[in-house]
Amino acid sequence: MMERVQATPTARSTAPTRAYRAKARPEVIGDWVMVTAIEAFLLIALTPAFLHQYGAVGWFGLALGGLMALLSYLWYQGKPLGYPLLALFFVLSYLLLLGAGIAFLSTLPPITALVYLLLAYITASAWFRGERRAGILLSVVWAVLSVVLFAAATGTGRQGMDLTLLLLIGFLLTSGAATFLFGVRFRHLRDPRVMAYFGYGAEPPILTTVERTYQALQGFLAQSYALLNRLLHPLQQAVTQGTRTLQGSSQAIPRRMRGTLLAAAVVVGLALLPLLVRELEQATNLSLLITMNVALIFVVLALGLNIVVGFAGLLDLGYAAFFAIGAYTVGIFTWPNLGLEWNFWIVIWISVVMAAIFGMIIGAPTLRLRGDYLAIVTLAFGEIVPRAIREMWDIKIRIPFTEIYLVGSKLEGFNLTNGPQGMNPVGRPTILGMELGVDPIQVGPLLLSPPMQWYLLIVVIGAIVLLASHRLEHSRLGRAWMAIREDETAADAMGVDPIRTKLLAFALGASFSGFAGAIYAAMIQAIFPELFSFLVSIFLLIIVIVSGMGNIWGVLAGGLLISLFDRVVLAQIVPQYVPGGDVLQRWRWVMYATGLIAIMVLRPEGLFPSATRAAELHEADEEYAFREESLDPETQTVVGEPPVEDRGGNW
Amino acid sequence: MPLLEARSLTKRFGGLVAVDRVDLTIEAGEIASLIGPNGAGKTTFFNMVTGLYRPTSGTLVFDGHPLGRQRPNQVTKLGIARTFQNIRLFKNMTARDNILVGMNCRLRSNWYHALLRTPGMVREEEAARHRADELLDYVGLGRHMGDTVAHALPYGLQRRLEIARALATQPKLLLLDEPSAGMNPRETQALTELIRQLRDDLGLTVLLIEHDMKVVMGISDRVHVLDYGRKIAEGPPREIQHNPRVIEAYLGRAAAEGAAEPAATTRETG
Repeated sequence: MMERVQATPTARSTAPTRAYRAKARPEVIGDWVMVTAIEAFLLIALTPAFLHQYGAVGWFGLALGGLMALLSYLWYQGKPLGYPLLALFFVLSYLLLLGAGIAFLSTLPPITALVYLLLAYITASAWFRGERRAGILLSVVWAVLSVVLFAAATGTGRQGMDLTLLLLIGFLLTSGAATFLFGVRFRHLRDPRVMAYFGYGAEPPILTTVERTYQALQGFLAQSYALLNRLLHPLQQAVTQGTRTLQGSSQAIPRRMRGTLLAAAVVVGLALLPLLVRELEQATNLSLLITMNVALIFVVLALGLNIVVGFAGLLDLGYAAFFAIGAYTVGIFTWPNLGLEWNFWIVIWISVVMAAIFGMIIGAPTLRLRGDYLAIVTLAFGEIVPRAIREMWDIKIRIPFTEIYLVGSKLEGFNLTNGPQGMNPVGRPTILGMELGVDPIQVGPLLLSPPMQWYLLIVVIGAIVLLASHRLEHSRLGRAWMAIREDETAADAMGVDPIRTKLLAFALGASFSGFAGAIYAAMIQAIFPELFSFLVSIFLLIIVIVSGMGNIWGVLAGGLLISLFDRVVLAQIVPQYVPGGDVLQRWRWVMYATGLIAIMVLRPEGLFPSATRAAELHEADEEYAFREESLDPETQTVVGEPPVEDRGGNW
Repeated sequence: MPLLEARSLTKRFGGLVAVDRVDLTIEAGEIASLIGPNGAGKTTFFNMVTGLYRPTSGTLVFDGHPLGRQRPNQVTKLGIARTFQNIRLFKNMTARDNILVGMNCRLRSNWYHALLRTPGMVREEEAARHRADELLDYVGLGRHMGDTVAHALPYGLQRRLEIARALATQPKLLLLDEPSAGMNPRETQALTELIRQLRDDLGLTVLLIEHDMKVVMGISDRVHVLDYGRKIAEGPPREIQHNPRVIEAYLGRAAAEGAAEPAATTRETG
């Protein structure tokens, strides 16, 4: 991300005067959005309610912003005031941004604040690099996140969203006017004269500092990796040897049979597992079957994420949002207080469709983004959804300046999600008129305990999802996903529609979490926004990466292993049997992060890789080997290197 | 009616004019070559035809459809397939899967067919696999190579696989960007044969960019020459060989003056 240098045609920077004339062209709209976002950010943050609530910190921030403004004024005093409007705008921005920003950030949980800052940085960075399309999209996401967070911070969510709405419309209009009339364009930040005016070179100093820190950090990490790699080399050798032996012995079985055998083994294993678990539960005082159920739900989620990340190669850091949407759809349609109480088996399909629709909603604007940008937008989406759910317990939509309420009433807002208190109870699935998970059910000679009923249901759903995953992978669409992941341009030129293909990856990947969310909600009977935090997304991503992206059997095995390790070993066994073991529980995220780094260094293809992915990640080694092989015996020169066009690249 | 017709096609990158008002027509069933020194705008021209670049101005008509605003995959669906100058196979997919990706736009089955595994989808997949094997045979890889991962193939076969992948899209016009680059003389000879076969057996129209003059002069019906983005000559290979402007573009003015005489019949443009 940091090393990417935008090749700017020289023609652009030499014609600033022409650029400053305001033109009502579509690209102006992007700048308008940006101006609006900043204005909305500043002014909503400074609503009196906000300052009242966070008085001391707010005023401190405001004072600091003022100091900055004063300093920048002194700093630039000698320089010609080429663009007074722009200057005024930015001095004001310094003033307000810092004041409001500090006050605002102090109200957020650390992770949310971090995500917010990161998004802001990436957004600014995109604009400064002149990547207009990315800038527009990121700004929109950023603005949405801002509004949601502000609604939460200032309490306007409780008093009715119309203040926020009204402010937004107002600033849309004023900034629109500013953009169109005066041509305040963010692209101009890259103009050398503006850059000189504000004292930055290629990029503003703050960004350069951040990048330098980042590079230093990268260097440090690289050294640590190297050290770790040397220390763990013997282990790596052992693992490689082991898997090679295993693979060797499995080669003896014909290819088609292997899949069937594996499937049969998994089914038998899953059917026998509860017996073993029951014995274990009786011998110890661990609760295993319930944990197993949750672990399996995480496997279903990981399989869904695997479609997006593993098959299509789109990094999604906010997958928990779809999980939340799945769970809350069930909540909304079955929570008695809302009076709907629909049948679970109908609602689960609504969940799936809702998750898929939201998958497309997040997918659509990010289709043209690649790599870092996509990751950051999904990250923001993962923050927006739980926060929005948290605030949707007192919804009042009033036509501004009237007393007519479209949703809710003056005294009481409409309660959709019950906010932080969570929804409880949630409707249970019924089979042949019997509700699951309430009383033991007699089936022939077997008496199925409630956790056992859930287990069977989840295994069935899991099997369906696994089968679906497998079929998708080996279909026309699966090949298209793989092609897009390998080389999007070539795939496009070969007739694969990248937009459609990526949208389907988002939609189908998200729909899996619709299933998972619905079952999860019904099983635990109470859902809270906190259950779907950023850490859940990261946990799922760790499962997919560690087990081997793209390999559904790997994700199944890895998902079970990691979830059970987390919920049984760390949460139950260690605190009970290891003296002082609760420390481990508290350090679990450090452990996971370390584990993730170790895996990325030692086996980037994961523990159970798919053949294609392993090949992709070891391309460098093999390319080297390939070159040696392709030495032409007669001339001893390397064949297979096409001649390079020598005049300025490939046009 | 010509199969492909470019009228005054122009592409500008900032201040640089990569392709400058080029007029070019390709008749159905011919093998045409596009030649020119490095950086003459040949690949840019290809990229405009295949939708990777949007022309700055000018028109492009293929088989009655105006091009220029379509996305690359839409152009492929209309019937133009291409290979790349630096091979762009899906390196970690098998040879057969590479070809199947090429067929993607001609297959009907959708994600719900795949989930339900409908008989129609199974039949279609089988037919596609069968056809992929035929294509592997046709371009000379042989179906036993079907399960080999693309990047493990020898260089010459990778080029052929790229052609097979392009054929899988069922094109009317095939664009080959330096197909013989990096090949030894024997491989080049075999490739020339293959290109001729494509036209004779399959009735394809072929437009190739090529630096190897033996290939160009050996198989082209018509040669178009670009230099600095402009078309400087067009004609049968024999005439192009003696055209002073072409010689000048390649070798410089002094060489051109020595060989000026027999060029009278060549139609000059630009």
